[in-house]
Amino acid sequence: MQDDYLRKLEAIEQEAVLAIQNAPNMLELDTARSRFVGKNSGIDEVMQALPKLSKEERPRIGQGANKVKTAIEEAYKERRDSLRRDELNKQLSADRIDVTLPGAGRPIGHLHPLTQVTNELITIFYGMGFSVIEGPEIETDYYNFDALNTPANHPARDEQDTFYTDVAPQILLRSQTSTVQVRAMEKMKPPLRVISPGRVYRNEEVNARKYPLFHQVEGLVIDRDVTFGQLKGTLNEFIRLLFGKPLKTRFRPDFFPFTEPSAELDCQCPFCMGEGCRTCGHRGWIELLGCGMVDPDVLKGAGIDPEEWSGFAFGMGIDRLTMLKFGINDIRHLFTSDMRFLEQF
Amino acid sequence: MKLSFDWLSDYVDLSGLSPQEVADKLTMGAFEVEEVRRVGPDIQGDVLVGEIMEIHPHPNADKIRLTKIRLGENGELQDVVCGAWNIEVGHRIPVALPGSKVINRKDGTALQIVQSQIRGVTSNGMLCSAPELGIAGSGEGILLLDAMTPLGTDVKGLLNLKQDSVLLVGTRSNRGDALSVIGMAREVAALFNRPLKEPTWKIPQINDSSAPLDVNIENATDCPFFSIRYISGLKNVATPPIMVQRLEAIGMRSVSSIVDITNYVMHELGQPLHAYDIRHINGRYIEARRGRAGEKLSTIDEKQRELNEEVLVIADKKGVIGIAGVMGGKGSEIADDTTDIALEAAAFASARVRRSSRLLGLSSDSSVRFERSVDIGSVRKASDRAAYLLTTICGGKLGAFSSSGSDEVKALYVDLRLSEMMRLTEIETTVEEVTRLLTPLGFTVKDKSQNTVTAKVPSFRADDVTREADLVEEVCRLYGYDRVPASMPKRTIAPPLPDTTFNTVKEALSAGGLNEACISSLVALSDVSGRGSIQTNDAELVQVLNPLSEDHQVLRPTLIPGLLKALSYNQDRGREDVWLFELGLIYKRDANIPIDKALTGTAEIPHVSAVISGANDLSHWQEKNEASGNGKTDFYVLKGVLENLLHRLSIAPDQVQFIPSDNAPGWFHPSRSAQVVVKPGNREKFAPIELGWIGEVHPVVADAYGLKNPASVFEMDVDKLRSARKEHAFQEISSTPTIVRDITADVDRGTEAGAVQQCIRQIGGKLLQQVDLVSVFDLSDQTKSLSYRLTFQDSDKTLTAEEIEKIVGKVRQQLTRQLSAAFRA
Repeated sequence: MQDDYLRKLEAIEQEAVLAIQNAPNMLELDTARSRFVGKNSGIDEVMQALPKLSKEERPRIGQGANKVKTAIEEAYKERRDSLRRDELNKQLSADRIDVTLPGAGRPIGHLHPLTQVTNELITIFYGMGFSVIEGPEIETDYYNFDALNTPANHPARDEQDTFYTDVAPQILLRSQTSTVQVRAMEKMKPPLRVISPGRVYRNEEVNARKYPLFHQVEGLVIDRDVTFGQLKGTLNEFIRLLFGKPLKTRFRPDFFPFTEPSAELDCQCPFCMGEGCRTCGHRGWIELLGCGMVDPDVLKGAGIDPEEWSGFAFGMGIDRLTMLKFGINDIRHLFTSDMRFLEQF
Repeated sequence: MKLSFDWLSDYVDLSGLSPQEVADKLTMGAFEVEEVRRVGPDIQGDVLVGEIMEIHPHPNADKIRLTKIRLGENGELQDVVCGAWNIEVGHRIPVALPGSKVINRKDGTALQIVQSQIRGVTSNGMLCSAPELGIAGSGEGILLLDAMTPLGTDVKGLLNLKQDSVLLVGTRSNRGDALSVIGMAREVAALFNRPLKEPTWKIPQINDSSAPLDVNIENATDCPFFSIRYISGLKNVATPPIMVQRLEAIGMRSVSSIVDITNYVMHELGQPLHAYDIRHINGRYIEARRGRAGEKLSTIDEKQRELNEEVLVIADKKGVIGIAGVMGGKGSEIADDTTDIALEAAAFASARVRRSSRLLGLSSDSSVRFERSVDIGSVRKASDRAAYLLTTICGGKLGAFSSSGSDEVKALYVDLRLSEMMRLTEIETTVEEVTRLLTPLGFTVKDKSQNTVTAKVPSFRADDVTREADLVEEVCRLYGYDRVPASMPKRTIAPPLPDTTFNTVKEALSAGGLNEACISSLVALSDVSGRGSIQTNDAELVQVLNPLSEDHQVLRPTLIPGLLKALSYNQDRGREDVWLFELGLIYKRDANIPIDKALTGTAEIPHVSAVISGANDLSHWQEKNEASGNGKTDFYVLKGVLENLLHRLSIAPDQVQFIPSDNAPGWFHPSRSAQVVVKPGNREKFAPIELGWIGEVHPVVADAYGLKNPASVFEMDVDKLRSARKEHAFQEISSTPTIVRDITADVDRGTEAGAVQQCIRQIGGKLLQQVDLVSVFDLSDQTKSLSYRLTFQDSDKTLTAEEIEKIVGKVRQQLTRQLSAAFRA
């Protein structure tokens, strides 16, 4: 009797697990389960019969029935999860999209290369203690020339063909950001360490290298014991940071009316490392900027005692630097606002 | 300036130095040498003077002949085949012997001479023409030498046939003295620590006793010293080859010996000279005076020049014969048959020559030197040197030297403290070193005290070395900039943070999809006045007096025309979607700003302007749905861009008003534009800030700029944006629930949504956290419907439905009362 039940249970388990494992979908899976564990199922029959069994037989058969029930439930869960997984995978693969189609929405805009380079210059010099000041583009001839040791009839005035305005005979468009030097010295007390980026104007025919307006950044340091060596050190550091590698530099004598001694700074061509290439005109060197020790007469004119203070100044063309950095071959690109140009940066 | 290496070697010992070495040293110590170029013929081996002894026909050819030549008085006869027909027996000619190298006259390449068979006849060399020796020859045929030339002479030495190098040296506005061979020699001598040398010559005795010419200076400021040397009986013979070659090397064409000699001395010593043919000088009188209105002169470049009181001229009794320091007149120019000359050597004031040169638009080797100032102490020497060369080369008699003014040089002494060298350049130097460095440049250095030297400045540096700082520079560069050790400024400075507004604006707009433009601040007058019936206040415009062109005449009073032109430029190139912005200055006169030493009567104000045209969303492949409209940009798209910008600048949206106005600037569509105003607080003391304008471009303007698609623009004052910026302030995030209610108000179509929203906010009070416009649609020609979603919250407690209904009821009531709104059930 007892063995009959156990055999029956065993048969149920075998049949049920097989049916569950082979159920092709959720509907048939549920049907199979209720067939084997629900009302009127084989197990139900055994359970119904339990009270009729002897005290000794009851627990063994009962335990046996529960074990089979648990086994069936486990098989059910396993099959159910497997069917769900299949279902999900089917759905996911039906959801397939073409990920190579372009992204939606308006593409982000671009900052002008001059802005990018100017910001870089400001960041570099800020790190060396320079603050940023501004000066007017519409200037007096005093700040553009006289205060910079360039009196009327000085031949250096001709080297910068200047635009004059109809406001007054002495009001012009500054031809250099050096105008800011004396303005800064008059406004701020030394020690001072400033840069001033801005737009300058020269009456020159437009070509690939020249445009009637362009951008410069001026630098000025006034302090006790400022030396030519510090000018060299500061600018060497600037070049290292700008190009991200230490490049050889050379300071050559030059002339500016408002610095003494004056120098032109060349750096090793960053593209060929001095070997000679198209960018540097096969010279291996690139002329970067003009600099020098502030002329004592300029200091005096701004009310600073040149015996107590000394200083250095430098100025460079941002447009030229930008063209160099990005390999732009024609300055007119910078001012044409062609979207095909602007979107490259 | 071009500098001949060969010529330079007359003045400084260059032995053992290559032209490139000299160039490198000059570049690093004095003047940049941009280029070193080889010039002159590369003639090698035996090219000797021979004499033609016999000429025979060639046995096998008609066009060439067989010559027999000798290379010494008793030399063996050599067979040389020759194709030229200008030779005769007895001519002395250059013979290139086998093993020598001359120049192929056809292509300028090297021509190696070998013993060869020419149609069965052996030829032992080649008779040379001028081009084959690399010299500018006149005419065809073999170069015929002077009959007295000794046979066997090396032709290379005889004709100075050697290669030279030309250094292209940068010039400097303060260094007129360096525009000469002797000036550069001084630099080279100083940089290499080598002695200067000078060719020896002596001016002969005066041997023409004619009366001297009268000379006169009208104004010593224009011309402190003027001199004329009379020389007679000159023969305008061929210029010596060495002079021709040196002049040609530096790019000067040989004209005639008299002119060549004046040019030669100018380049040698830096002093411009001019020779007049005495036959064309009236009254044996020459003066330097200002020109007179109506006077004219044909200059030697054959151009007619109109003169005036600003121009300094040279004149005789009858009229103008030259423009002082710039160019002589055609009439008194040296001719081939000139024999008697007046040689002018003078010191003209640099400012005056500059003025003349600018006024006449005429620049010359002479004016370039005078403008940079020539050495008054060398005027007489240059005149003597030219007189020596003229009488030596062209024969002739030396006449009287007459002068006016003074060429006396006032001695100038400048002190240099060694401590100042140390303070400014960290160069520790000694009196001995300073003396060694400065002496080759012509300074006389004396020990003044332990720490100070006194330098006597040579006359040719009197203009650029006047102060201690000038000596610091001289010593520093000769010592070597590269030897000064690099260091960093000693003081540590934490600079104030740079203003962030410009960059914040640029970042926000580029994040919004706009590309940054950088546009000329000089625009055409028609761009700001007239075009598209725009009328700017002309009294505020700043104009350029000497514009490059009409397109660069006015400083822009607004950024808009530049962007419209950029838009049109891109549209013309097939680009429809153009989203651009620019942050830059605008310029205007300001009557409140005076004009003085520091102020210019003008204002420069940073503005930011944006233009958008074309598609809003660039993902064209996605199907456009109803909500995104037709995908084209319009006023609202640009308004969204501007609102995002204001958000980014922490300018609260509820403080910003978009006010329609009939006074919108002419760029804007009158009924699709608004003035943008910020009211930074509710209290009266906060004055509204007028930021700028936004709107669609006026169709007439769009037409004038050739725009193909509608466009919207805004222009804001960045200084005002900056002043409206606020610090962010945290507000507690409440955990009480929010209650949302929708209301739909039907109003007249003319009623502004802004007014509706303002009314809702006002009545909604503190509990109304948020008002969102959900939909707008037109009900009829007269009315439209506005749906709003109102979000209520009390941070302290949970609101009840009754409380909310009360507020919403009041809102409806007031909308009806104030704006005649109707509410449908």
